[in-house]
Parts: sequence; structure tokens; C-alpha cells
Amino acid sequence: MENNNTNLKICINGFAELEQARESILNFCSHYCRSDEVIDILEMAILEACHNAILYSTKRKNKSLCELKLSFDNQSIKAIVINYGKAFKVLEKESFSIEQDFLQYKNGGLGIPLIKSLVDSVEYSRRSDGTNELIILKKINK
Amino acid sequence: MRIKESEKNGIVILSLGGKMMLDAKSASLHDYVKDLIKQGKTKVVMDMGKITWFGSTGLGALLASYTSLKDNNGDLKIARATRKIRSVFMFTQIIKVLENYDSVDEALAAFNK
Repeated sequence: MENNNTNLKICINGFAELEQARESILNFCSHYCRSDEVIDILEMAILEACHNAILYSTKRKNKSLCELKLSFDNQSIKAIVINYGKAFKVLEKESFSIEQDFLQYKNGGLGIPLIKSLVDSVEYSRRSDGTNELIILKKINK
Repeated sequence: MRIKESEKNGIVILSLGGKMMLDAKSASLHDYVKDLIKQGKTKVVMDMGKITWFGSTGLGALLASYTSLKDNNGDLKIARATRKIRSVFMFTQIIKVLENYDSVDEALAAFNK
């Protein structure tokens, strides 16, 4: 784990390490935000992204399953979740919708809609080396 | 995730505990509810006061359980959802259809309204 005033990097190597990551996420967010509700929301959105990153990650030698980078800038907390694995379609999925996701719910696929409902923006990029990068941004009011 | 079942006045109370996120057992909550429906038990209160972790897996299990119960003329009410779960309900607007009560007794009483 690397940490300075406004940046934090965490390598997560499986579900068992998510609990420890949660504490680090909470500590980071609490440092910049005083709203318990916003901290809760950030924690849930980031952990959801990390959980899915681990779930769909392909194991590589000497590489962690999921890499999380947290930063604070311009009254926003940004989380970048990186994994190596199959590409996924973030932009095609909307925020969670009562009509689409609740009343017509089948099975699975709620991760991105949930994250989009919780934060201000979600961006995705696929790198040429086969890694996925999910960028989550949440504005905060101290 | 742990599921503990009890019953009061014909209404099933499922006391849920632990992580409703990371393991396949969260999905089994829906199977558990489907088994209740087979037994003719279609009124369910889920006590979520001891849930320590909630994500899309848990959300999906709740939604699937709710729709299955509704399809069988039943209903699902939530009791003691934690602050984080209430936030998810609010941001996703699930709060419009899935009622949360401060106590199990209040959730039970809501079936008689």
C-alpha cells in the first residue's frame, strides 16, 4: 500500500483482502469528507467495483488481482479500479432503474447500475495490455 | 451470510446476518424464499439489522425475492436496514417499492394495514 496526502494505492489479491481494503477506503474518504452518508456511498461503490474486478480478473504472475487508486482533487474523490481480464460494457448500462432492474429483474448484472446510481460519474477504458480501468468520481462537500 | 427463520402470526421472519455481498450464499436467499413459497408461506419480513456488507449480489437477492413473493400474492417487508442499506435503497429509489421499518414488530404490523 502506498500513501501520501492525496493519493492511496492498494493492491487486493482476493476477496479475503477486501475487509482490509475497506478500512483503508474508509480512512481515506473520512479524511476528506465529513458526511457519513457520502462516505458510506463511496465505500459501497468502490468495494462493489473491487469485488467485481476480483471476480472477473485473470490471475497473472506477480500481479495483484485488483489495483485500487484513490485520489482527492477539486472537491472530488476519484477511485480507479484496475484489473486484468475480459472487457466489459459499462457505457451500455444505465443507472439502476426501478422499471428495468427491479420489476424485470432476472439474475446478476446489477453491479454497474448500482455503482452508477451511487456516484457522479463512471468511466471505463480498456488498455492495450488487456487491463480494464474503471474510474469512479464522487463530488464531496466537506 | 446467515439466515435464521422464525414465524409470528403466519408471517415468516428471516433474520439475516453477515456479508450479503461476496459469496454465492447471498444468491441462495432467493432459493430460500422460493422454498417458503412452495410451503405456502408468502408473507416475509427480512430483518437486516445484522448485515455487515451489502452490494449488488444482496440487492439482486432482495429484488428476486420480492418479485417471487409478489408473483405469488405475497409481500416482502424489510426491517432494521442499516444506514448503508437505506442509502442504497434511496439512491436506487427502491425505497418507493420496498418498505423498510425500524423494527421487526413494525414490519409485522404493516401486513395488517
